[in-house]
Amino acid sequence: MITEDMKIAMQGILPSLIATCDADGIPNIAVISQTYYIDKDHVAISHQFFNKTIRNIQSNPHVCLMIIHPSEVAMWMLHATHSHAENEGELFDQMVMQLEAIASMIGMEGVFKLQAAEVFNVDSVEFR
Amino acid sequence: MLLPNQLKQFLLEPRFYWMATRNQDFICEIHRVLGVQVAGTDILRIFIYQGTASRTKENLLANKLIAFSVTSGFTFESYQIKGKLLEIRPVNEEEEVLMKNYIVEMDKMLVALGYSVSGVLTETLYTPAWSVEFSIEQVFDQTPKVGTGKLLTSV
Repeated sequence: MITEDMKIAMQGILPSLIATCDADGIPNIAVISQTYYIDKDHVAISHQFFNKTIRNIQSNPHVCLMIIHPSEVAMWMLHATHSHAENEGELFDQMVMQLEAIASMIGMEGVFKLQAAEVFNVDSVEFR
Repeated sequence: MLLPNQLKQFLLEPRFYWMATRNQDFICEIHRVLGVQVAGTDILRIFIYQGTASRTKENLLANKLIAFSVTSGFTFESYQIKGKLLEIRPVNEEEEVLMKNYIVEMDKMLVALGYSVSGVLTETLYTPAWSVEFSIEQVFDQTPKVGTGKLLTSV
């Protein structure tokens, strides 16, 4: 489902977006520094600050993600369903490293702290 | 007045603009926004390309709910503005010019940031477009920092 072309849009060079919806149906949109490629059917996002996003995911696991290619500015919209959170292990450690690299790149060292890797099953992908 | 003057000023510069809507099953849809105008006290007008906005338009007409995001490419200062649809209609000539100018300015900004080569955005399809006017109900600070997401103003 996730192609090679899309992987560069997941390196954190340009931020991604996540939209969630709470139990009352109010949409919420947030900028996220990292959409992490796990395999062709799974991605993870870094849980840092976005308490509202996390609360929404707990009541409604369906999310919409937008990832952006940094040089071509091509965009893909992913619909995905939350699977689980990881706060230790290989995936978590890899995301910590990538997050540190992103923070360094944009001058935000010390601002980003990974709380958890939120893992999603990708349900569909659309080129935008 | 829900929209602080500082934020009005912030919206005048070329920024990353996005919007989210949701359908009857509470599934969200993100859409790129290609320009914004302050249309009145606590009213914003945003512009989106029709070619990719069929579900966004359906969602807006069904439930009127909008979450709009604005982010600075230089500082990552970010805000989310939530509101309700007042009107959706085709853009007029003046608004088309505003969209074109926005795309040109964003292209320059991406080059300045080192993300892309000049001209990559100028091929962006933007007409025909919808003008989406909505009333502001809540404004949130979303700048990356501890404690972000704070509600700044609400009705």
